[in-house]
Amino acid sequence: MMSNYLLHHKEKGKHLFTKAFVGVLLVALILALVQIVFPKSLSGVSNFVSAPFWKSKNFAVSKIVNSAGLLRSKKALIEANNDLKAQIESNDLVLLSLDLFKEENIRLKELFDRQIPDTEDSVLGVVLARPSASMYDTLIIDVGSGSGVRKDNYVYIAGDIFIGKIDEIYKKTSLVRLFSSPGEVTQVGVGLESISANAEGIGGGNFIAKLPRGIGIEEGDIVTMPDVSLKVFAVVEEIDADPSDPFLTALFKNPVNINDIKWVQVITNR
Amino acid sequence: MFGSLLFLPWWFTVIAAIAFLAYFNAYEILFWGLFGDFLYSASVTEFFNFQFIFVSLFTLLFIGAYFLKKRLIFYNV
Repeated sequence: MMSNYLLHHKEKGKHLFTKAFVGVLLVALILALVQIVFPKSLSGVSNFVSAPFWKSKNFAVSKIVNSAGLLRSKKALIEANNDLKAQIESNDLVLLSLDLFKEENIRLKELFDRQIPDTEDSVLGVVLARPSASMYDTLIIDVGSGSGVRKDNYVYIAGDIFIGKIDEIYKKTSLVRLFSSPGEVTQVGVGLESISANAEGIGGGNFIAKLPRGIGIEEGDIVTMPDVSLKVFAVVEEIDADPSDPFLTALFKNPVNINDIKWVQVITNR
Repeated sequence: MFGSLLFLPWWFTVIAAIAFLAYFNAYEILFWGLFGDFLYSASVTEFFNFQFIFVSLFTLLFIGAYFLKKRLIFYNV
């Protein structure tokens, strides 16, 4: 009688594989259910485990970048230093005029009896994980409930550029959902006349909006959020107008590269 | 995979998962997918607030790899 050992072994192996796969899938489903029912439990643990690795990586990268500067020639460093000094002087002059405009803006609002927002309390946060790390267009920052951060607090770069809102908070970290997350719709004002539009996020700091033709927007126009503050939302990057379409398609882009940011500000009283 | 999820772009993580599936019956990629979703997920408005993109993608890759391996002479599945 011929032995069917190999066939029997192969069938046994196939059943074992199927059982193992079903078992693993079941465990994964249970964990996913736990995440749905208790949203912060497993996310909090994951963030707690990952935060030290992100901070170590940031520390190591900054050390390597600083050390790499030692390899550059003295001449190159002096030239770079002089260029940066000239750039700082030029930026200081621009900031001076910006301060004057802000001052004038506040006085005009007072004149027209508009409510001036209170001074914003903010917390500075380091970006631990950038949007490129996931498919969700989210950031993870190193400030959490312990630093006074709350859900839906606005998040800015460089004090004046909106990028998103706090979506999840943990003790020492927070998840920021960017306004450019796919499907996220934000009401904005386009250009000097603040023409109302709905900007839909398409990921990576990019937005798309439909506007009626002939409204006079141009590439380079600033897009803002429709309240009384002077916060930049995006810049008009491209306008696509089909002659047969009564609407034009405007593409907005965040003026800062979202994948390069290292620091953000979280406004804790808005 | 852990390092890839934390430090590298998402597409590299997907490629690493495919590479693991090519060489092993890598059941653990489902757990890595869950870990990625726990870390980074926010509900995706376009897909009815779904927030398990990583684990869904890895499950599909796993099932696809299983059926592909059955048909390839290189694998003894």
